Amino acid sequence: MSDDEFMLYDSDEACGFSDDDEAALALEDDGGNSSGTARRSQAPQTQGEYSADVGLGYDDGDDYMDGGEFEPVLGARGQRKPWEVDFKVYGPAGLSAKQRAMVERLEPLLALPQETTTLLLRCYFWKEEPLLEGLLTDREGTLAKAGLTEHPPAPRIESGDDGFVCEICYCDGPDESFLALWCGHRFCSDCYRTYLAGKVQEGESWRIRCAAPKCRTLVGLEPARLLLADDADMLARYEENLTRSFVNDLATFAWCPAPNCEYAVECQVPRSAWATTIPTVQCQCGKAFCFGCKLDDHMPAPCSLVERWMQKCRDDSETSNWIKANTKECIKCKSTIEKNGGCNHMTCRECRHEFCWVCMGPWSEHGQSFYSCNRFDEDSSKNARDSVSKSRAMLERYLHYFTRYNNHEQSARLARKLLTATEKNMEQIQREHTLSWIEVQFLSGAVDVLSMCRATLKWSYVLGYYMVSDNQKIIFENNQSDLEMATEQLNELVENPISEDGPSIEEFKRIVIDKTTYVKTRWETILADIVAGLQENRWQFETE
Amino acid sequence: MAAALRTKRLLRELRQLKKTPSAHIALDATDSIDRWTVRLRGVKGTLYADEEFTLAFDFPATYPHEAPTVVFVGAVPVHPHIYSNGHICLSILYKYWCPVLTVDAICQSVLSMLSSCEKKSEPHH
Repeated sequence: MSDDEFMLYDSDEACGFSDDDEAALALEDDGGNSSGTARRSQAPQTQGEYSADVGLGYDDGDDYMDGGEFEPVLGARGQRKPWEVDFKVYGPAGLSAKQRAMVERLEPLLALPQETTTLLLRCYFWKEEPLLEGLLTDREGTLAKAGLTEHPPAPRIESGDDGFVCEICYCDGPDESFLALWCGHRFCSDCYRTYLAGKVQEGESWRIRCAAPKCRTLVGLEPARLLLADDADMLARYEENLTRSFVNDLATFAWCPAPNCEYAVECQVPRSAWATTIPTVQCQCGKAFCFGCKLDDHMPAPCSLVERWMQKCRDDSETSNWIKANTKECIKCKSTIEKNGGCNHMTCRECRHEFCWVCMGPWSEHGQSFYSCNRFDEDSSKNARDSVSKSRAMLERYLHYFTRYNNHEQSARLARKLLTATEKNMEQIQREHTLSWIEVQFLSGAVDVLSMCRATLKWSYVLGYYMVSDNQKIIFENNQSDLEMATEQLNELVENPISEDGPSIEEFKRIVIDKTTYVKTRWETILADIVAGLQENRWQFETE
Repeated sequence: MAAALRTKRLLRELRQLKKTPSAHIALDATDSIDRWTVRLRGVKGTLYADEEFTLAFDFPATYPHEAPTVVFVGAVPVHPHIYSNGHICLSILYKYWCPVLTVDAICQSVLSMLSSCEKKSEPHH
């Protein structure tokens, strides 16, 4: 496998974001540097050996896009953790630059006008290889299929002649002005404008074709600019749609899912690798999300399990499990009955059917032997009881994992509250012990690590729920419990910081820092192990 | 402007239909430019030979930039793409509408949809 199958970005760029740049970005589209390379900032900065060649073995055909503008940087490798993936964040200006760069790279190869090259790339979803292959084998056919021609004449709005009739509004004659693309279909400029505007409002951009039925000719940017010259809003919307489609069309790009965030993230981990590599990325706006499913960061559970879990939590299957485990149906009218006391002689409230709760048979067959059922051991009643207890066991298992999952989610929420409290604490300690700001940072550092661990623990229970019980799972659970224990201890420490009879501030600080470091080590251990296990196929997951 | 365009276009279509009527298509007399009814006669040699159906056209204010609403009224042909309420599942009436298309063109499309049918059946639900 060659090095350039990976996208490794210049690490210097990662910090090339000064506050000024960021401010400029937020305010204007064309603020200079609007793309930055990033790696999740919450990841701890300890050094570790990492080799991209061994770690992530994608052998997917999807990697034709790297090259030229991305330089593989060997130096960056040492800093990357096994569970981290490379990604790049783009602002609006960065996206335009990226598009331009992709077009400019191909332009000399194709010997086509820039506009044609751009449209061709769009038609091929920016995949260079199939495009080049198509052009080399059948240049004319490829262009025609896309609705393009080699050298289209510059679009012009012309005056009509005697033979001109607009097929849309039937206006005619020399008084009208019209536009025709290279396909020759002429429509008056008013109709063309309305047609174009309608499509733009539907969210279309480059896919808009000539207004004649079945004509495949693409309208393209130049004619659109010409037609919408007097409608700046519509033109802006057209161009916005263009950018939008660039990100949507490229499999390696995704919009940040945060509300109102206009950044996009590029990540080269192909879809086929999402089962073994969790493509967690973080936007410039701070939002950490999974590039695969676009949900919030769910490290270390792979997307497929997260999807199953969410579905399970969402639907009523567990309610029905409970019903299954705790109730029985009246044989006669199918009403659901929960027995909350009393004897086994049941009378259905709905249909007055009398039956035995133990064997479910009609009470009349029980004669006068009250409170005991001598039909208990019959096969049919045995089976019924088995299925009830099995369903109860499954429910209990689910609840075991769900309680812990939910607990960590809530604790993570509390940790955010804790952060505010901690900030107050830090101020207090600063005042009381005349310490500098930097000297009390250990507390907020501890809370950061805490939140990080809570998130990981939360999703680790989803992993655990689906993991088949074997020796590997025991190792996983040991790691999990180590981290959990350490996390709880750290939480307790941070929650009750300084008391009169407690340790001195110096002692306390030392304890917290030690604990934080320990917790972080546990965190790194479990993440590294889970990710390695995913890639080695070490974990067995239950299939549905 | 839109209304003027619509009226001009519809009058022109009306004139054209009257001047050069297409086979199997007959325009009913109408007192409103907004709603037309057109009678279609099934083409000979097809499953719908000699059957007669009525299509109702409602033109939006933005016509021809937006498609007219076209449904069968009265007896509805039994066809896999035509629902019993008269709704027609035809791409050019929705996603692939194009302002150059006319009432005549729509009728032709519906007719060819009927003619190409090989087995009368109701749509799958």
